Amino acid sequence: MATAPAAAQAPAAADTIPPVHQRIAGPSPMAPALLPAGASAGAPLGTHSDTLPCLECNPPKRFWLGAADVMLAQFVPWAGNYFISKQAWAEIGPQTWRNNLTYPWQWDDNTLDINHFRHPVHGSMYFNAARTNGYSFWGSAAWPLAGSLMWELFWEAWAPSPNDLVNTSVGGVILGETLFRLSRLTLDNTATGGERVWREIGSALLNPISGFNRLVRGETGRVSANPPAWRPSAILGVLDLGYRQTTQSITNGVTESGSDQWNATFLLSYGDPTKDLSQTPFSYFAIRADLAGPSSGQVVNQFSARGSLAAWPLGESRRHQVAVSLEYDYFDNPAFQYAGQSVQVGLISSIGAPRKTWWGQTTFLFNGVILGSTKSDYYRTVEGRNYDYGPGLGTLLSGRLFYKTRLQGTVSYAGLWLHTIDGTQSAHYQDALLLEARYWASHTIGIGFGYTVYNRHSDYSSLPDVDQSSSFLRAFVSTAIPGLPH
Amino acid sequence: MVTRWGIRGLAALAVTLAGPSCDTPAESLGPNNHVQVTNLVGHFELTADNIQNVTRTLTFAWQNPGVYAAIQHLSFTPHGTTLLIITDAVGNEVYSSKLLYNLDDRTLNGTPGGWTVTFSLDKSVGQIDVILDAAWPPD
Repeated sequence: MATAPAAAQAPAAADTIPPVHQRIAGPSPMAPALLPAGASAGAPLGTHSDTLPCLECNPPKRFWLGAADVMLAQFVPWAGNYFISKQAWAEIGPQTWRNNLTYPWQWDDNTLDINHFRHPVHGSMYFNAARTNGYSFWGSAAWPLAGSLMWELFWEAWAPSPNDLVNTSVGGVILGETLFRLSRLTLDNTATGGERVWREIGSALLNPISGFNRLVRGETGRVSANPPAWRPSAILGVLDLGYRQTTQSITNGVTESGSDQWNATFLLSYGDPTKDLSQTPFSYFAIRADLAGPSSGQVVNQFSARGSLAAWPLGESRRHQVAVSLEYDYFDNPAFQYAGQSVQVGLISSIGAPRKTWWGQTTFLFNGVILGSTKSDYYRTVEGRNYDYGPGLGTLLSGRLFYKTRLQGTVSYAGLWLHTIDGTQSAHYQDALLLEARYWASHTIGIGFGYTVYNRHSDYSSLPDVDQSSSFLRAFVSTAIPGLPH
Repeated sequence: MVTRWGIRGLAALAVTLAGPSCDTPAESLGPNNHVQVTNLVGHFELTADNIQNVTRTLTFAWQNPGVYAAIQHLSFTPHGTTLLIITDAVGNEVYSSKLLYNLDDRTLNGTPGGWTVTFSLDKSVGQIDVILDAAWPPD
């Protein structure tokens, strides 16, 4: 994350929900409390499953099936646009291929959701074409780039766009691995009957390429053991439901407004935020989804995901780690608009340990935004683009502290400089401060409030500068799934 | 270790990405572009097709008795920059936009009379079809 907004409104779950230390037992990922005590991660339950072979523990690399998946992921959207909605851009052939290979690439003017949500989702399919065919995280990472190049050059008549290439490639990796792990979490190879059907359907909805491959390979009904990698070392989800008040003011006398909305926020912490940082990529990740209404715009106000790439402990205690992570952010809400993908490096430190009186975590990250988009006050196109593109640099500082699993406090600050390379000639300086407090009445129910203030100074080369200040005030009831550590 | 195939792949990627940056000489509009202009009082249409890397500015005087013009964008210019700029009878710019595909739009209100319609093509590729109709605000 790392973007100002990201840090403020939702420092990707990592900064707003407690560390999780319950080990997920067996094949029932979202409801470990229902599982028999003593079942270990990845191990099938019961005497029957104890003897099952693990048919998917070391899957072979299936390059050609992966390539076919990529073609399928391109053919289906192209065919829908060509045959059904009859889009001019879908009329492709030797002339359009020649044009795309001959003429310069161009930044496009599509809306924020097309460029920063739909393209990364498409990229996640390219990623999973490899990931669900036996390739590792790193072995799959180049597939979204290759798939995006194919799409930009050969599957549409539009000039290839550098923004599409970056958003599909980098966003595809982040969302791809996140969805890969969540789809594996949903599956249970030991299940049979209706439960098995629903798990396979749920997994396929999260990861359609995986669902297609499992169907083709006959895995949807095959009973076997679950690979241990399908289960995280810990997991915790938190759902906040409540009220949100947004206020906003923009300088130059343009506007000052406020709104009252219902607000639903879902936070998921997958893996152990300390121990798993140095494991395989995304062994720890956190996501945050934020919905609000009534809204004249989008109900989905935010989706963020941050996953661990690597970490190196400093000293024997492992309390301090130099960590590298990847983050995807999409914010489109009344207070601010920002989207982008970034690489982060910095220091993550643990304080105390769960079940102690005081425990928590601090994060100091430098943030490199590979490509971000932030609201422009002047750039407007009929297609709906109202933002500037650019790379950026920033910092993310956060700390969260827990007292006896009852009280939780979070402070987070993020600052970001974004240099516009397409849009209105400008530089955007953004920062955000989040303060949040929660009281957990039990291990599953709590209440809390949060305050986020967001500031943007947009420095335009040939137009008046603009300052924006927005804030969120939230009050909510929380439920923890499956529950906080005892 | 980078394999031989890896080096070939990177080379192919570099060629693919570097290729488009080479400047291709711009062309002009010609007979094979089938340019057709319908220029009537209150109605204007320009069509052209098979445009390949054309750089040119086309300017038309158009009589608009209306307060504004309704615009039908039916163009598809996937490469280059193709702009439509419209000024009203007193020279105020009432519209400026890229040419778009399948979209209805309108100019700002302006002074009726002799309007100027300008198409600015910069290394454009594709086809142009733009229709303007005089329009008045509802009473």
